[in-house]
Amino acid sequence: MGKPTVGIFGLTGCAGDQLVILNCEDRLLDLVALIDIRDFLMASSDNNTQCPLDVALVEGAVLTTRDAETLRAVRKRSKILVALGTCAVWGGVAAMDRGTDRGKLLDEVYGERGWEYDSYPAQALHEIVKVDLNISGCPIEKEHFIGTVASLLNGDLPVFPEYPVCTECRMRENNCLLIERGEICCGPMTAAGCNARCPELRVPCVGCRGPVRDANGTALQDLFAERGFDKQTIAARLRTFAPLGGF
Amino acid sequence: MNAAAGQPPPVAPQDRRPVLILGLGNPLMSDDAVGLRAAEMLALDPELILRADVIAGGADLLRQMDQFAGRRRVILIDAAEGAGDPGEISVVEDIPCGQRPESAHALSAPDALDLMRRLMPELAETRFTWVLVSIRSADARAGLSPEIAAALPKVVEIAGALASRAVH
Amino acid sequence: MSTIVIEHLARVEGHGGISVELEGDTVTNVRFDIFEGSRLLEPLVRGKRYDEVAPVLSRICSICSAAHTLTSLKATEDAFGIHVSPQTELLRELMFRGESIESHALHVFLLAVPDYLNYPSATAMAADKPAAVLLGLRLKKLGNQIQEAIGGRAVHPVNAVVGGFGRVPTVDQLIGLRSSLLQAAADEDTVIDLIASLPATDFCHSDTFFAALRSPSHDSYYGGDEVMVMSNGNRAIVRAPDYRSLTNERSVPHSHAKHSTFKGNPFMVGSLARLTVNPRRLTGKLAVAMKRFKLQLPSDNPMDNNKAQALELINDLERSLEIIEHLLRDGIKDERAMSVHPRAGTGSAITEAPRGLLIHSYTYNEEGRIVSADVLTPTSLNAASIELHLRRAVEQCVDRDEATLTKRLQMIARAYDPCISCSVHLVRK
Repeated sequence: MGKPTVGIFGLTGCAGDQLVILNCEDRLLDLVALIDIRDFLMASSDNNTQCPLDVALVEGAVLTTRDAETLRAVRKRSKILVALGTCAVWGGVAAMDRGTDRGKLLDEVYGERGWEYDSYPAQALHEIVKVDLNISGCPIEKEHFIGTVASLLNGDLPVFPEYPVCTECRMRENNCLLIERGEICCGPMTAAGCNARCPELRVPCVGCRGPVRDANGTALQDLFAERGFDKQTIAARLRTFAPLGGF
Repeated sequence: MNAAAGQPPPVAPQDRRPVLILGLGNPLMSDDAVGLRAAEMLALDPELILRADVIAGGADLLRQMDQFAGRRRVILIDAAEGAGDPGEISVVEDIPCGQRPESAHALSAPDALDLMRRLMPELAETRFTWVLVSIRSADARAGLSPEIAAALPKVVEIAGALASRAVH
Repeated sequence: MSTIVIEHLARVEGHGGISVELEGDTVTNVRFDIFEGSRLLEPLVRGKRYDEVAPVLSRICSICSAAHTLTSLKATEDAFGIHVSPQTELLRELMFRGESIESHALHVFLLAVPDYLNYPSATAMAADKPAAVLLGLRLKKLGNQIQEAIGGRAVHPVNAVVGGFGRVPTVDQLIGLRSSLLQAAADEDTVIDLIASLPATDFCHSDTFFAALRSPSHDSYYGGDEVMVMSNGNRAIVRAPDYRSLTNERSVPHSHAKHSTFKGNPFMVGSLARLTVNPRRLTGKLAVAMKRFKLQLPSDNPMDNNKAQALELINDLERSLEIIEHLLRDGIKDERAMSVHPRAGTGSAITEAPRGLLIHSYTYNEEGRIVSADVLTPTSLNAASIELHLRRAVEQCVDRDEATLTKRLQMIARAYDPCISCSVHLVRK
């Protein structure tokens, strides 16, 4: 069996996840020896945009018709589609203003001709096509990308932690920023995988990895309310990375 | 009656509290938990929480007695048996009750609600809507069955939409 | 041969209810299917660490939530050799009382009284007698308040942990509870009046074995680790580690359910059993109630369980007040939960949940994770006795018309206050 064919794509996003892949540096060379990257616009000028792919990794959210077309085309040519990063999985920061009047927003940002721009409220990949694997993160963790490739080479899909950041935070024996310092930390509802990087540095978690599965939303509301945070503040936090609300 | 100058208009009793979404169920009895799971997800919706209270209510509706007064609308999400194919969602305003319960534990949610409405005049102006998810059965198992898990996003969408519309 | 099948009582197992088979005048089969706790609950906790066990089991049942939690903790503490403080024991007893108030109020006023007064449901009764139903709801709420104050949360008592409590209630909380309980004193009189006025139910008599927790003070749901089984003056004691002699599951002829019997005899647990096994000289309102209810012990009428519950309800209100006064007088100590050192071994605990004996028994490995677990609910312990009484009711029912018989059988089953699918509350269409 030949090496699996891989494509890496970016829709509307900061390309940070693709950058992480490139930043694998020395390990990237090892990876490239094992997989056949056919289409990676950000890294190569020699791309095959038609061939079928075993795995496609797509970063960014869908904000334009062009994004949607690209995504559909990629889905069609791939056996496995991976949503790469919080924007792709959840809509991310691009989706933060999904509730507002888009026309008004375009007008404010682009002026009179705003309406001419091909732009609609951000959508996560799974809202357009079927997604086979989600790797959340903003950006993703290097290790998750490498681990995913390793799993895929084994004919497996990787398994990511389904517990919240709090678990990793406690394992590092941190004091809880929410409970003990009254700060609005989104750890309890955010998917682990980052080893509680921010709380470890005494910075409250902002939820950049998106919501954890089975997030205990109502209990969290109670917890925040008990600590005196008003709904506006809580909503603002929730809205930042996963405005679609939890699934 | 004119409001006195500088005073805000009086708040109608039914608007003292926002719309309530109450998810009912038991997390250890597989599909019985669907109402709870839906509530957990709705509680993370940043737009919704500004306009509605979301509560995961457990399996005993009577315990939520104090949650209803002063609200214009209450949306209850619950599992239903024998109401269609598993995963089918129905939205109803009135559920026929009066089926004699076999035990205090089995005082069904509709019976409990019916009882409360008859006994508490303060609930006269509150409108109750049920979002029912048909399930096949509930065994002692954590986690939803695939059909119900698949229906969950739709349940969340329907309940969320009802709550958003109810505000206006 | 004719078969009377009544209702679907067991939703978890998918089949069941009350089924009585008759051949001519002879009862050939009586069946009462219920939720077999242990089989279904054990997979939920196997492999779990000791601090995860009670939170899982508390969610099985919203009304029995406190009992499951506290009995679970007691079993784990037994396995690890932890002795909780007297204050913790008192607070746990108070939680049990709150739960009993909630459960009995609900059962007596929403299920039993409508039965006695021939209403098809509490809702129908509410049209004629709203005060009675409101009384039940009010007392239920009071029971919830007690559990919330001590247990920490409305739906699941997260505050009770292995070794004690996360946080003890504050003086203000206790004062609030005391005030509510003092107000309930007037309600106690109403309860007595209402129950005393109920018509007699005399359609089933049978010598009955009773089993209940024997407590040092004769009046405790939580403390104690010996069960007394008695009938007609004969008594036997079963200690907690030997609980299996109460639950020898064997096929009983003419019946399907695995039964709990003691030396071959079905036994009844619950309020009536508790009153019978722990005789105390009743004083004050309790003595008045006993007399006015015309309750004679030992009783051979299973319907008396309803009256026994009403009596316990009054006792629970008084006893809760006593405990709170005691805590306020002595001052509540800000104790932390005791530290836990897990070890391999088995622990068993028996308590009195509102509807009867509740047993949790666990075997842990050296990491403090569950290897095996056994949970016996009062309803499963009652199964054999329920079937026996159902059989007797049919035998003693001279007029065998189906409507009368059906009603009587339902009333007997309901008098036991069965916790059947204790957690599934599905809307049925």
